[in-house]
Amino acid sequence: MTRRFFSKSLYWSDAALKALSFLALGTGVSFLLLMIVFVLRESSLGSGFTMNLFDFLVRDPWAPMATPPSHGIFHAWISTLVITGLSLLLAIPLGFGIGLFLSEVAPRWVQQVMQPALELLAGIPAVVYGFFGYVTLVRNFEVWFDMPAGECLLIAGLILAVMVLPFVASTAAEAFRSVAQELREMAYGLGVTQLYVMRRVLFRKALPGLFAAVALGLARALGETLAVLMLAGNTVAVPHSLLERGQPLTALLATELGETVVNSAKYQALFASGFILLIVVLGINAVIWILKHHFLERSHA
Amino acid sequence: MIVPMAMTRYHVPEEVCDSPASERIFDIRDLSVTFNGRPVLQKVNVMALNRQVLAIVGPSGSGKSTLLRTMNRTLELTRDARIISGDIHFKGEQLYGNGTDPRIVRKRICMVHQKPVAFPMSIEENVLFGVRFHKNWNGRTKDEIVQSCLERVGLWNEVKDRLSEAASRLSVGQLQRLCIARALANDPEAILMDEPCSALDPVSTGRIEELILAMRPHLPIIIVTHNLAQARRISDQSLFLSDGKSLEQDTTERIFTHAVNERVRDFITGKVG
Amino acid sequence: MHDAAAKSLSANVTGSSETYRASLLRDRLWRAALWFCGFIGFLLPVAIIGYLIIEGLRFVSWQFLTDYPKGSPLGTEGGIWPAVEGSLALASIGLLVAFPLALGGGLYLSEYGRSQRFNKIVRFLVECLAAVPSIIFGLFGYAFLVVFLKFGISLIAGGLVLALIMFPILLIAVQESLRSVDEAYREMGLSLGVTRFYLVRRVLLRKAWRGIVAGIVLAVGHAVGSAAPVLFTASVYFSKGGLGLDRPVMTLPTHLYNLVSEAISFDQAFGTALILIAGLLIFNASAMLLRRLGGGFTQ
Ligand SMILES: Nc1ncnc2c1ncn2[C@@H]1O[C@H](COP(=O)(O)OP(=O)(O)OP(=O)(O)O)[C@@H](O)[C@H]1O
Ligand SMILES: [Mg+2]
Repeated sequence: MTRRFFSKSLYWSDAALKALSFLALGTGVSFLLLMIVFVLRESSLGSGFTMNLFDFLVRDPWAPMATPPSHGIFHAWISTLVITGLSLLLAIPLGFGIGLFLSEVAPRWVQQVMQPALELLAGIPAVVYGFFGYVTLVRNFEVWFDMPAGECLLIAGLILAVMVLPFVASTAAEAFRSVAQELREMAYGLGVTQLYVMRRVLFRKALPGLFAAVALGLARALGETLAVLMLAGNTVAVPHSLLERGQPLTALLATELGETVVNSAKYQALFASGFILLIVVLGINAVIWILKHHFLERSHA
Repeated sequence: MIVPMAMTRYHVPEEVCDSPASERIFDIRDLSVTFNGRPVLQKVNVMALNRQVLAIVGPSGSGKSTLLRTMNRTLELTRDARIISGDIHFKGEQLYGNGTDPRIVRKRICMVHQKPVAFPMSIEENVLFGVRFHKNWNGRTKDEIVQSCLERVGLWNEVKDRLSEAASRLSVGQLQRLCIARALANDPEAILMDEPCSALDPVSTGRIEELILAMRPHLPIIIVTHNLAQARRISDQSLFLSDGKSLEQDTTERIFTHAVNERVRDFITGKVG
Repeated sequence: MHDAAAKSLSANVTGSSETYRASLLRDRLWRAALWFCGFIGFLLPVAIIGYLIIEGLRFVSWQFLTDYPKGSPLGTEGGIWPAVEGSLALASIGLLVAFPLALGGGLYLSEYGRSQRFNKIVRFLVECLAAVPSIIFGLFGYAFLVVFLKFGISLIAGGLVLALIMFPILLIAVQESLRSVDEAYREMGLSLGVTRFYLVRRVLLRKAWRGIVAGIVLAVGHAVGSAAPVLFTASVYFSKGGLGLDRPVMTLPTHLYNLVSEAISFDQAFGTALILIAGLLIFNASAMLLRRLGGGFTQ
């Protein structure tokens, strides 16, 4: 019996490519784990809670120069929360509206114009947004509200809303589009108006996707650095109104890291806040993942 | 419909059973396949002889494509499919033996699919797709291979002036013949065809049938078809498959006139299916 | 009774019933509101970019692009060439490192990975990497590359951080565009007895390259524009130009940030912002052109 089905050397390239591509994948992905571990290691959290978490988050002020120095980030996460909340408050209704417009109302050619327009909006670098906000809003706020320096949480929130808008809008559009066409036709077949269909059918069916859109916007807004750094005012005081200045977490990191002695208490505090931010964003990402998969399975069924 | 057990027993004519082993191209015994644990083929038996066309017919979903895909080891490209038992011999060799390389199996036993697909390259390069990999030039130049393969499928005169054009510009009928030429360029020892004409118009179908008859003396061909008249026109043997079971195999002449199995008779006379 | 029903039905069909008309009006208003949303979504990018172009054009010249920052304080006059050079170098290094890794990774996930579960987990991790805020990449790059590996603030440290940012974007693009190639190509190609490597090289990549190019554009655009990751890993206030892997560079986004935050020169800032935006737009447009024109056989 001939043994002609046996493999020739011709096939080594396949095994090599498979091994190499696996190696590439492993290298890239392992950096995520390395990053988590390293940021944790550099933070004080790694060396067994040298600082009390409650003090760190709530009680202590940020006063590295004081004696004794104190490193609390209450002011920072409050600013982050206010700016993020404000930006989502603006971006979500508008983003859902745009999503609904794109998937239900807009004629084909309008969709084709809007798509690149939103991509353009998403493609503008953060620092350019910061600059734009500075030359348009900050200067005018100084005049309108008679402020000595115009930077404030309100401006940072407004610009941040524009920045997260394209992400919210395109995810929402996708969510509305993925509602089955038959369902839509069945609803219209009952002779009701478009508004009625949107309210009763589309929103309910697209709900997980819309939630994912909100989560995506939230993750983006929390991690945004340069624009809030340039617009929020960068003072370590705890803000009491939207027209006051503040220093969101990311701005705190960007401001302080360059001037910090490696492995000092301040350095560790900065990495601890970075670690918290990282974990929060990854958690939100996990929620998005679950929603997306849940959502996909539902719309297949 | 409940069929008495005796009727579902597989029947193979004596001359096929008695044929010498060297004449048996495919000898499949008790082949069972599952998809996700659901049985799709159950103890299927097939015997294909040299210099003959074997037609596989049967109702939709009976597992014809699955059977064909086990015969050149492309079934394992589907993640959920498992062969749970059975033997497949090709010219006396084990197709699924230990250490057998599926890619060599596929080179020697080519498949023509239902829907023709043009690779994103020129007509000429489409024909040479396998040759460039397997390096089976056998002393021929690339032009010779392209010309001879295209001539065998009757496409040469239609495309000889546009060999470097994108293959996707061909009509579906031309494309199906190009796919056959692409398979022939591999110098296969058998060709499997899965409903090769179902996307084609009657004229193109006629050309493919002529082609099959012309290849028959050199190459064993196994063809799945939904078209009973076609099976009758071009095949020497016919195998009837139903619900993943091989019900009957016989010469085409006899199966279409004196099928033993009642379900086969019903299907052929148009009572079911 | 019968009559009344027929009457109200006919009233509905002709649309003269009171409630029906009210709901139609509401529907109109709602549609108008949605058009308004769409209009704002269109207006915002056009207005922002239009404003930056109109304001910026006054300060941009060939000399601005090719000259070094001058004046006192530095940056009030002169040009931005070292920043352009630095940004280009950083993005190139990032792409050079990230692309092979992403290509391999995407290939593995879409062609070789047989375990659905494994693929899903890895893809989740990749999307996590894509979601990490850029300032965290900066922190990590500073602690790991600059301090721990002693690279110092340098071109190579910044390039590697950018590579890390580009990797998930590129990988997702590669995987998705390979996955969108019809399964029939694989079935048919492999049934001719060739290896996956051969199939990938001759068929799948030819089918998928448009999507991959789109991913490259996205990743490079993202990397060129981001300041936070290079702030502590690669960039300096001023450099006399000339590139070295172990030397820091100027970059366009950090230069823009410095000009504004130190209130050095808003004229120069307008010019820098325009160069940055225009560069990204031109890069996008040329990639789009390439995708439209290139590859005759892939149509
Ligand atoms: N990838 C797959 N996953 C799960 N089940 C499958 C898959 N492919 C085929 N099947 C199932 O296997 C059975 C046989 O399918 P097969 O394609 O072999 O039938 P067929 O006889 O070729 O039908 P047709 O005449 O319609 O082509 C069917 O019940 C089908 O649903
Ligand atoms: Mg079939």
